[in-house]
Amino acid sequence: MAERMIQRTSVGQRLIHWIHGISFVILGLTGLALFHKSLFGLTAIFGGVDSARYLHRVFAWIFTFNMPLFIAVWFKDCGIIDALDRKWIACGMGGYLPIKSLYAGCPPAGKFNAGQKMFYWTAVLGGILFVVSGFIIMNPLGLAKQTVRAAYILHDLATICTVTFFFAHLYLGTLGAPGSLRAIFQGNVNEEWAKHHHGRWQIG
Amino acid sequence: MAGLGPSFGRGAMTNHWIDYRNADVILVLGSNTCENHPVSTTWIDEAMEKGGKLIVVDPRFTRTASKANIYAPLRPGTDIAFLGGLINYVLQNKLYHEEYLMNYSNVSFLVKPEYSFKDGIFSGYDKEKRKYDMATWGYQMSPPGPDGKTTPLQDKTLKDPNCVYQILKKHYARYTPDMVSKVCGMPKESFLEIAKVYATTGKPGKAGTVLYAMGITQHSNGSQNVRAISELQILLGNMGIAGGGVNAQRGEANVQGSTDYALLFHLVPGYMASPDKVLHPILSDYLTKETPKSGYWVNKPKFFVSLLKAWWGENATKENNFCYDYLPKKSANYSWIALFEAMYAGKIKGLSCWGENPAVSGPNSNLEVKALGNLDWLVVSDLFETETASFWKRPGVNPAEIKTEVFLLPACGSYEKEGSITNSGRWAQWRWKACPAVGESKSDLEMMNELFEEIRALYKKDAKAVFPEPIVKLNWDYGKGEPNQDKIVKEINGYTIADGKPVANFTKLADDGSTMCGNWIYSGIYPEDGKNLLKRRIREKEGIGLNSEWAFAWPVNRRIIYNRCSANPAGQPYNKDKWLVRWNDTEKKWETRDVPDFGWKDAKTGEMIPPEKSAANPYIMQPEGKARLFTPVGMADGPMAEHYEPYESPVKNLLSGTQNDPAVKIWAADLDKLAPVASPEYPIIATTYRVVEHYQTGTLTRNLPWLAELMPNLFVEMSVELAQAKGIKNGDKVKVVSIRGEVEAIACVTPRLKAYQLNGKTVEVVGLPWHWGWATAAPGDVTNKITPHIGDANTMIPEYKAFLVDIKKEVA
Amino acid sequence: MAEKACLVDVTKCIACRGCQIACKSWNQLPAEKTTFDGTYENPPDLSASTVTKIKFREVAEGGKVKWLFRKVQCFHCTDAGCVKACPVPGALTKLEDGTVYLDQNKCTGCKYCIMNCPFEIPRWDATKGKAFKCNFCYDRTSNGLPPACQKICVGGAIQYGDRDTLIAYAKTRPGFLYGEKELGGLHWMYLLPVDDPELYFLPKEPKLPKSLIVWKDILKPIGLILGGGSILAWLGYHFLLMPQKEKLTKEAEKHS
Repeated sequence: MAERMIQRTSVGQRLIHWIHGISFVILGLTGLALFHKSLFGLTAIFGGVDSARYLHRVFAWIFTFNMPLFIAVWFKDCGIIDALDRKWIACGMGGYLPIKSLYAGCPPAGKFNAGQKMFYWTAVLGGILFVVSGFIIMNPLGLAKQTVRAAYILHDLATICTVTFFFAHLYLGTLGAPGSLRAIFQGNVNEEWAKHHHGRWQIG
Repeated sequence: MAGLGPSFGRGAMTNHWIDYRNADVILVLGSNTCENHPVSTTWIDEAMEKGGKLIVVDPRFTRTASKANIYAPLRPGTDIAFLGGLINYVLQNKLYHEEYLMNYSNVSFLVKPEYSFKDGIFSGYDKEKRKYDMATWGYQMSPPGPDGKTTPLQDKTLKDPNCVYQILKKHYARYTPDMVSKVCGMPKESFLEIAKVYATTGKPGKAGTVLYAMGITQHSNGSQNVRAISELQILLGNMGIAGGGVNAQRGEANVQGSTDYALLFHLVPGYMASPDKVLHPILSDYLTKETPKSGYWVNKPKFFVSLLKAWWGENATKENNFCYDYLPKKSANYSWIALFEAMYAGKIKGLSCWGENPAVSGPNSNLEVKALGNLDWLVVSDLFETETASFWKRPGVNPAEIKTEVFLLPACGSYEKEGSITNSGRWAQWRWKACPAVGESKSDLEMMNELFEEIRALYKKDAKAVFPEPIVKLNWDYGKGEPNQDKIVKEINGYTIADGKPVANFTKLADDGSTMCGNWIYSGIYPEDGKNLLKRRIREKEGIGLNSEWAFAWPVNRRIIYNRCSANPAGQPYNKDKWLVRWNDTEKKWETRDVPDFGWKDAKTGEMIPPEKSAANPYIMQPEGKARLFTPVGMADGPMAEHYEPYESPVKNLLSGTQNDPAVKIWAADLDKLAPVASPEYPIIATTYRVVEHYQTGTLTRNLPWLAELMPNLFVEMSVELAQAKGIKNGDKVKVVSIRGEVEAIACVTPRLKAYQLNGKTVEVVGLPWHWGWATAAPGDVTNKITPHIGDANTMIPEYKAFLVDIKKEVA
Repeated sequence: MAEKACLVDVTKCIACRGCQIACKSWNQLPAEKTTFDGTYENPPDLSASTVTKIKFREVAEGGKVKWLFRKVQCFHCTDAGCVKACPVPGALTKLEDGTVYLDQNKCTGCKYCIMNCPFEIPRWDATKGKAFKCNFCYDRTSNGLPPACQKICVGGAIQYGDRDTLIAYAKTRPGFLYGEKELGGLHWMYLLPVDDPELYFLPKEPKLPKSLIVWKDILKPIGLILGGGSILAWLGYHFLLMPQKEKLTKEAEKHS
């Protein structure tokens, strides 16, 4: 019997996700190369520190222009954390923290679970922080030194949060939940998968 | 310099740069030494490290003043009032070095009773000619002795009203601290503080030095400024000792050399007068009139004849008076101002400017630049196209209206040629070529050599040439192109003609034509063939900084001249540590650090001459053998320094009814204007100066971007109060206007300049550097457009340092 | 190797600015186009082509005037903010002799050093896209020569030598030594006549920016731990907790 496939993401969502994702990864690799001297070896991937910085600045612009679109197209799905979501979190992140006592009576996740929504907000808030602090860092001359120095810290804070969360996303989108990848490549998932992971999803 | 010769016998810095470190007190007057002679700072610093005091007196608070222990302002052109005040203070408080004074100066000499001084005028003044007859300034002489010699009369008790001591005391009694303050605009407390500190150097064993430069000489009474310094230094016994002296700091690396070699109209090399049409038509006139009866100058005929032999070689014989007739005889004053006045009047057809830029450096530049336009031809030899070379296309003129043909010869820089320079301290030092000359540029020497050979060839060819002998027969054979400098150095040193061997020094020169010598004071620089002492570079390891094996100091490698005076009459040094010469009484011999500047050893027998003998005439160049507090001859405008106001002054002379130096020549061309005393139109005093970042007319430095970056534009310094009164803000464009012209400059408003309080009147002062012109990438106005054509009574050095202006904010 | 340093006696400086020219000459730095704007001081500020200059200050008080001069250049701090801030290995290095060396070939132009120098020394060159500052004439000092500015100083205002010797000497002199302890010890120290560094354009107690310490000493290590930790944590999660989670959720699905 053929599996029933359910449309999960729109073309626009996927496109913008990937623009965001690819620029994030390139920005990440080029940026981490200068995050700490121990990571400086990453510059080799890009043929040296100058080209790494150049790429960082090019993708900064792509990232920046994509950011409002990213916020917009994903907001409806991921922007609203409702009461059931909060409950879901309280139940050990819907069982991701497998503690039986907490999990009892856990509501199923909606189309996107609260963890995914939290990741959306991390990406959004982190992204805005990246953009604002990044442009300060890019053109610091003439600005108050305190402002620039604060930007260094904020840019790093954004890095730490998004990168740390990014690994979660990477894991949960692949190994952690087999079958998820289709959602962001082909745009659909099979019904079984949907029911299992997103029981509350009102499939239209 | 003209004040030094009559005072001591020689016209040069008496000590040397490194010797500043031996001073207990350094008085910098009329010099901004740290800015304009920055290397002096090294040695001033050493003196200060050892507890020495630095006093700076200047119209402006300069970068030198920033280092000083005491700074006091002084109105431009009132140096003699200040120095006279010091002299009076020393005399009134008996702070002079008595033993020194009695033995080594003419303090006890009796002046002719006819001498007088009334209301600013010395006896013998001819108002019509504006000249002094010096006859009444002479000494009273003894009746002729059995040998026919007469000597000046003295009163060792110093009681005789005609003795120099009494005359001096009376003359300077008017220069009270209050008077100094009223005339100079210097606070009385500052004056007294300086007087107290400087007078401490009158103690035996203490040394005070006076460093001066163009702030002293560029005045209508500049030579008398030097005289006033000399009088003070004699009183305090500061001459001929380590750390003392009257130290004339020259304005360029080789000005001393250029005067030694007589790049002056009134001299021939070695400080001998140039022949005068009226005084010296023939050689015997010259030799009798120019040779004194006593003092070292009795040897002048030997030096002069040897010079003629150097010039005309074998053609100069006893029979033809050693070609004396070939020499041009001067019949007028050919100093700078006089030449430009003559040019302006159309009397001069051609001008050759070698390393000179009169369009920027000459006073009353509007007149001088116009004068250049009256020439048929002008040759300029320089590294760059100077304002003089481009005067015909200066802003505001139509080149088509200027007929002068201008030739620009590309000269190479000092690092692109070899040769010698003589610094202010009389050290003649060799400079080697560091890099090849750029493009077609050539050394001055090579250009001169080629030019001369060409001219000689033309004279030889031309059968109708007028009086060709001086040129054709000139002893000039230095090879083609770049001359053989060894040959030139040998000629300067002098040699015996018979065997061609260099003479050891000038004591070996003769007046019979058997020796030749290009410049007697340099004799000794080349004692053997191939041995050029200017190339010596041996640093002193221990000692007081004489560095006697470094290069060569004229005369005969003496580093501190008049050094007999560093010891008492018995030959015992006043300062046991910083001694120069001393008499060892046990062994009956002189011990020397420096070359003795007196008769110490019999040239023939080699026997030591006891100290008493040399104590009688320690100033060997002077006929009476003494330093002169009072100069019976030599100064055109008086035997003692007297304050007169600058030719443009905001006030009347408080010290006498004679407003200005009465012996100064007044020029009368239409562009020779002077503002009247206390002119309401030009109420502000202006003074000009240089900054460390630029060199002279700026030709070299404005063309160096690094230096132009430091000092890009002409500016004018003024007090905060003046700027406020005129509505000028720091950095504004302003116009500085004198009766002769105006210049545009940028305002530098600073607390470093302050108005003077002159007997109740407040007078402001502004200062302008003069390094700019139109010819370079960093252009600026020519400051000398506003300076006057007035020269010193003795030297004709222009009065750049004190004149009157007004200042206006420029409306955009 | 002994630490080298320069000691500037500000009272001996006459502001001839030979040091500015010697520096440009030795390091072949271009001239700047300047204008006179009411002060002798020029160029108006440090720049990529002016890595040392003299600052001028006129003080008038009680009828007396003082003209103060202070040479400005990199202080070559022991605890150098620029070295700490620089992300490129080898671009800004603290050398054994105390020199803080900025290697132009390695500098990538991030400007972190400019923003974190407590003395505001490094300058940006827009055309070259690199930071510039005094390198203590390392090409001279490493060959036994003094820095060019010291070599030319006629007033004896600058001394160069072993840092310890200079400190010992400075302590025998009247005045106040600036730079012995500041920022772990400066390698350009100043002998001041009065205990008022600010009069000579020197910050009273120079400190590294606090943000630099937060940024470099706290945030970065935490970041490394969290970032690296995150990868490990998820791998661990996959093998240890994921099966349990699956069990839990499967059971729940059965019950419903």
